Amino acid sequence: MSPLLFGRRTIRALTTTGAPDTSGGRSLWQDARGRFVCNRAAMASLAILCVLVLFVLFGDFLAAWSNEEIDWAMLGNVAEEGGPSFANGHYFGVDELGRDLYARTVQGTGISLMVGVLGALVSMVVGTLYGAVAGYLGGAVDNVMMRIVDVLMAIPYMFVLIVFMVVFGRSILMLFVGIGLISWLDMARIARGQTLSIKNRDFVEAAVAIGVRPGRIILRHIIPNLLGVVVVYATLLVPSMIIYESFISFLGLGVQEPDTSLGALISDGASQMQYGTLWQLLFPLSFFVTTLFAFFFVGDGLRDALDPRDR
Amino acid sequence: MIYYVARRLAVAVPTLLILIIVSYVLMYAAPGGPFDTERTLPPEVMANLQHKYGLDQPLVVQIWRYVVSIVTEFDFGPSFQYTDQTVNDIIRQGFPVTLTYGAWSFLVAVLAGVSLGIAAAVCHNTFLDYLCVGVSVGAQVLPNFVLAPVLTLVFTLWLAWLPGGGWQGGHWPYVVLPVIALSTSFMASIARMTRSSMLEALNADFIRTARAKGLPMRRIVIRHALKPAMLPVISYLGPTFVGMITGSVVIDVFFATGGIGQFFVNSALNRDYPVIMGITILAGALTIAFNLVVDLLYAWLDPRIRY
Amino acid sequence: MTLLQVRDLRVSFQTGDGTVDAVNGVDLAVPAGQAIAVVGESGSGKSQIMLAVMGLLARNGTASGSIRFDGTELLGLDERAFNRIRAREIAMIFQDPMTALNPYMRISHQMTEVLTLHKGMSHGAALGEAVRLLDAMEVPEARTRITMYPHEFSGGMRQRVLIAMALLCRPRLLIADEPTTALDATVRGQIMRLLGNVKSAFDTAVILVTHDAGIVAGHCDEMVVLYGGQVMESGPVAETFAAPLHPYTRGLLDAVPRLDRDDERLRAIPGDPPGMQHLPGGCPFAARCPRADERCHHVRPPGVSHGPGRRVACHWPLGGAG
Ligand SMILES: Nc1ncnc2c1ncn2[C@@H]1O[C@H](COP(=O)(O)OP(=O)(O)OP(=O)(O)O)[C@@H](O)[C@H]1O
Ligand code: SF4
Ligand SMILES: [Mg+2]
Repeated sequence: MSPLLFGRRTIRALTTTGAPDTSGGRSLWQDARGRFVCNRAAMASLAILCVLVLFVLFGDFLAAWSNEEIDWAMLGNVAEEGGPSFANGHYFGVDELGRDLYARTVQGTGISLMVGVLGALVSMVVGTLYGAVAGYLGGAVDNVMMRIVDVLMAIPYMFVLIVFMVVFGRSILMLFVGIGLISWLDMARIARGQTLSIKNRDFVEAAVAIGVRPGRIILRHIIPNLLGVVVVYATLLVPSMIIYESFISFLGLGVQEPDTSLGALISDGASQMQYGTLWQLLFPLSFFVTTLFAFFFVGDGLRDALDPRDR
Repeated sequence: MIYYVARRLAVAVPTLLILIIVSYVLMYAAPGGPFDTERTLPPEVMANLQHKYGLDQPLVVQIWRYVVSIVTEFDFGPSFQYTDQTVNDIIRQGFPVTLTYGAWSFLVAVLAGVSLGIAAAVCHNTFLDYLCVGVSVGAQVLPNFVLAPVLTLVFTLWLAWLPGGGWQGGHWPYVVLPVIALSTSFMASIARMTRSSMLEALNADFIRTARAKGLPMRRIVIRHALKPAMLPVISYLGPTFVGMITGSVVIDVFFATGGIGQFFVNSALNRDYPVIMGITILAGALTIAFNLVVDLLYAWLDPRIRY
Repeated sequence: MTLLQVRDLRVSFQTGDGTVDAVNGVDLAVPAGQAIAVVGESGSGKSQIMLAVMGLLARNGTASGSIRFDGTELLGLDERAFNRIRAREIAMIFQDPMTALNPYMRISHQMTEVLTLHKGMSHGAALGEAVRLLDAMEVPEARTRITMYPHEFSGGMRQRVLIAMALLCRPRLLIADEPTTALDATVRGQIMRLLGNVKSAFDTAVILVTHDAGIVAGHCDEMVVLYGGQVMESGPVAETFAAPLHPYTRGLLDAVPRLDRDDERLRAIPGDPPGMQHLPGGCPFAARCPRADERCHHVRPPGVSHGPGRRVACHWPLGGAG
């Protein structure tokens, strides 16, 4: 379930871009920002993402119905009367149980985005710590730690994640912790690579010389310098996280009713489409596709901004 | 070479063992056992069941027995849910189905992706190139669980060309939609990757040398550029395989193919631990074996890798 | 007889920020069996001239003017026809031997494919011929090493392989684009000696491209000095060395360490080569030339004949012969 959203070049850009230092490095990031701002597709996508976030935060104020309320008038003849309509306040129509699809889409988009962002955060924290420790300690420790990453890379995660969800019960918390925990591996590699390049800088050596302990050096000196690159990569991870979450929810193994996510809504819509209630499929699907597209172009823009070599 | 294989195996076998042990421990630690159904069973029946499945033994003994029976007899034990079936029965039933369309999807994704990518790179900045880029960007946001409903909507409900589910022993109309739904996003990724690595290869200095030798373009692409262009694609085959195995769960469920994924999801919903574990371990073993093959292929193709 | 005649060659590249004029009206003549040197600083357009001759300009580049090889116009020749000239008639050795060979193919295969394609030789015969040429280029144990991959060779050895590969079809013209720049100083001498032998042993005309005027003496008959994509001076090597006409040539020669001169006079030319995007209207060298006056900045000096076989493009040539 991991169609390659971002290519090797992204990873290369991230692993080769030096962490910003105070002198020349700052202008590197400024350059990158300049290039990003000039990328129209990326900027438009960024705007779309902002609109989506606003939709999630404030969409409920526009809703005439809550996401759990059942419109009894619709129940039983959803196919005939449940379509999108401004007259009855169901802007996106209703689902097969007569619940307002607009409100549910607001909620589903919110949960999808949240799981995506939080999952990326979890993987960022775990991966950065792991990679920084491995890179900083080096030698045999590094070797063993990175071997473990190699070993873990060869496991089909989605199965393990589903096992995880079955064992610990299905909740949103489990979902993003689980998703985050299975996708920290690339992050760890990137963080390690960056650490290797930072570790020989003056300020680190100075800290070592005055006897600062390794744990403190990693937290105080290494990680703050990794942050730029790591955050960029974490942004790139968000769409994959959204795909993972929707995948699991599509199977009915993710978020539980009455909560919902885009994957669950698509699944509902798909199961109802033979009755002609297409809006149930198409609204969540367009939100899903738009979100991914936006993340895709933002990620692409970030990559080009960081690695402006040949296009 | 033998040393190389041995070293890879030395990593692969522990990986699999870890996978088995971890999943067993997870199951063991799980709150709520497999027999916690709505009707609470009388305690003596419960104890009987526990004993029958060896669940009253210490954890270590359970794991040991489990591993031994898998390794020596390829036996994953009985299913809790389908009382008359063993996990092996279920695998025997579902796996061929999944394997059939999975193999087709893999072939389609690789062959179509690679050809599309090469064509786009050779015709760089032409209509074909833009088409390839457009298609692959588009397909990127169409993972199988999005594509499957859309395909069914178009080809089953509107056009009524192809059945929207079932298997019928693998009769071809039943295979087409699963294959398209499963392969498209990977095909797109492979095409994108092939295109960029082919472009990179065609820009290499040694390609200029080859052109200076008066070799025709076709020969240059096939003899000189193809191999370096294929290497990144080959290392992406591992992730593709994992993705497809995972994606097949959606396909099995959505198209009700009776494939192994359907059993997996069913068991996950019903806490049928032996089945979940058996399938997870099978998927893990397949992935590890496949990665081994990919590594060997890579090493064989790149003369600079030392075994 | 003139083997290669380049007239008023212009090469320009379309780039994201405007047109880059890399070569601006270059004339060049290579007589059969002679060695000429093309000398100039980095970025003066040397490689682009040679790539234009081979028909291998980058996609964004276009060439105009005329390039005649043995009577055939090469500019605008279609790819099939060009492929019959490449390797058979004109062969080229590129700047960096470390990247010029295909790392994924055995040397044997890379060499034999030229012969099987152009000469229709059997694989066995081609292999024998390839080994013979590697021997001629003094690659030790050629017979066994030919089956190796490029990464198993050192830089100097790879350059020998590339020279041998270029000579497989006995071309009438060999273009060597900075064949020693990427190599260690110790290996340079060996490669230059081998290249020097090529002219007589294979009866091949040679164009030696270099930014190091020092290696020209003793290996070439004529030299052409290039600056800003234009020819500054051309003429026989000995006379040019003895009495350069163009201030730029003088600067280049002064930058060469020589035994017959005081070390104090060894100096680099001050300043940087011009950006090719907006070349000055007058003499391209004006900004760095000690003799430049008002006219130099506004009027481009035409190339004029200056004594037998010598030409110079300068308003104020140094007082040489003529
Ligand atoms: N594809 C291209 N697009 C744009 N400009 C190019 C391209 N190829 C070459 N140039 C420009 O053409 C000019 C001449 O390049 P050329 O390679 O001929 O220099 P050179 O004399 O061979 O220098 P060197 O000693 O470094 O090899 C350079 O300024 C270069 O930037
Ligand atoms: S023309 Fe003028 S500027 Fe150019 S080289 Fe001659 S003297 Fe110098
Ligand atoms: Mg050059």
